[in-house]
Amino acid sequence: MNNEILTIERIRNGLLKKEFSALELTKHYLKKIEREDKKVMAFLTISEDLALEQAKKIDELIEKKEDLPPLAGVPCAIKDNILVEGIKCTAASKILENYIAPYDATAVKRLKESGAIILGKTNLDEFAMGSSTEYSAFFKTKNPLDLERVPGGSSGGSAAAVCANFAIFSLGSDTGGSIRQPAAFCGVVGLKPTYGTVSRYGLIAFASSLDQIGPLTKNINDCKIVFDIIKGKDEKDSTSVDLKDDFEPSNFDIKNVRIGLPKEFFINGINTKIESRIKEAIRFYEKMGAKIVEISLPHTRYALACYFLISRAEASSNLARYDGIRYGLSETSSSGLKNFWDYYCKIRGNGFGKEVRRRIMLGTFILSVGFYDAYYLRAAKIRTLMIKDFERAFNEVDFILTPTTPDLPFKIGEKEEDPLEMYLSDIFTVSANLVGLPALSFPVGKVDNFYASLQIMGKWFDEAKMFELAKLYERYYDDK
Amino acid sequence: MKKGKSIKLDNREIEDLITLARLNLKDDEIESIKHDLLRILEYVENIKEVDISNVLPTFHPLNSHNIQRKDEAKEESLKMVEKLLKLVPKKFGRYVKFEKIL
Repeated sequence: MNNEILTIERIRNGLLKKEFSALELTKHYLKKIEREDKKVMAFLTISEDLALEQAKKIDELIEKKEDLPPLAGVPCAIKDNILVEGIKCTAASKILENYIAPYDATAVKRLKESGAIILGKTNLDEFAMGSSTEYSAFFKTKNPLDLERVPGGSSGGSAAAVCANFAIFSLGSDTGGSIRQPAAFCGVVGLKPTYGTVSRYGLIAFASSLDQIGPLTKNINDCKIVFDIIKGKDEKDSTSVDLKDDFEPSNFDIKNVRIGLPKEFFINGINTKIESRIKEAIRFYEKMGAKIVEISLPHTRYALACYFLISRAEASSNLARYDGIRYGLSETSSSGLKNFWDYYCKIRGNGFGKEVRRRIMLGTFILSVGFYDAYYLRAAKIRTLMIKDFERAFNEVDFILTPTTPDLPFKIGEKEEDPLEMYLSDIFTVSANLVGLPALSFPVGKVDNFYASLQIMGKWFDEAKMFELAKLYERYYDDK
Repeated sequence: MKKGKSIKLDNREIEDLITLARLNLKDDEIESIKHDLLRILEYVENIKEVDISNVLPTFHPLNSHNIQRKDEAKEESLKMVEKLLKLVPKKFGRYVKFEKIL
């Protein structure tokens, strides 16, 4: 079986025409992972029993000629900071090394109800803190396009799994670019939805005002299908909202579209080959009739700094829960420990990796007396100014286009010891998280062994329109 | 706004910070974390040049408001309690067991 050409739609047709059964398909993927993931190392856990059981249920439905749910038999992978009941969920941290998820994340529950087959849990930077998956406490994932290079991060395992055809789609989480940057590095599609559209219930929190779950897929249509399933209000996440759904794809006319190119994003230092692919895509939209406008988002130059401060502050509070008392890493012998604080500090010192400790330290610093106003509060105010920048821009344009990353994937080890260099690879992606906007990354052309990816930022809740814009180029590119 | 003085942290302040962060750090790690911390703080210095007078802070990207639910036990929640108790490393009956805190 050549699974490279499979999509959600083709799987559905294949199952209905009995070209293959869900069980055969699932076994095919499990075998492929067993054979080939030794090189890529995308998966932390394979949930074989769960996958086979789910597949059998789908085959029973087919046997009984019952209606098939929309993702029936579609094999997927889940980032290991999203809970799947009964399966280990580590967040790639020693502190959760043996933690078995007691319930399903809402996004996972919706996938299961839609018939998706969960093959396993994918590697990430510990607690999603990183841009290369090198900060996983267990092992480093490789980029399937070049095994010497990083797959990006933090959803590096999820991106690598889709790229290597170990799964039709995967779920990732995006706090500052953690879906879009690895999607770009691995040449796949990745969506960071509008903040609030996908429930965060069952997502291990990193920075709660920035985190969103989203899909990574091989094409735009699959991305849309998965997004439509996982989105929607959930009473278990009070920040989740219902998406207004009055947009008709057939009403989308590129001739009425205004596209903004923010001058602050088209800067020196972008890889010239990436830049020329991005400009080609923009020229395509212009030829199709879109109006291209240069815009300005003046506070962009503070975005990364604000992101550092806000995300670290939120992380240091969120990670206070890992105490070794109620779950997670624990010490059975408490000899030599004087009191509770001793125990708490020891568990956290031993259980968190270096990057996580670094972030907790910075977060603690900027929330401490004397620094809160100068750093955290100031960043929160600049965040307001950034939102105003985007509101102003969206009065003039419908979409904002930028490259997803300034450069191609770097070599494993190249930036590991230089955290600041590493952080700079998120320079184009963090704004969407701070402002809460939807942002879609998809490949628009080959560069050497890799791909240049375009990022579309849309108005809040405008995902459906963004998919239509992206599909236009995808169709053109596929035909080329 | 004037550019702030570049931040300096002496070892005493770093140690206080480690205590606040509730982390046991090894001695040889303290220097490198201090170095990284100062580099990041230097990088974010540019936010001091932004005029933020009369700007309200954003703590959440969408308009958020408090959402309440009825205070009632659900059967589902009771089952969840059992599942969560299974994850507790040390127990005494249905209690989480730990050393004396005070």
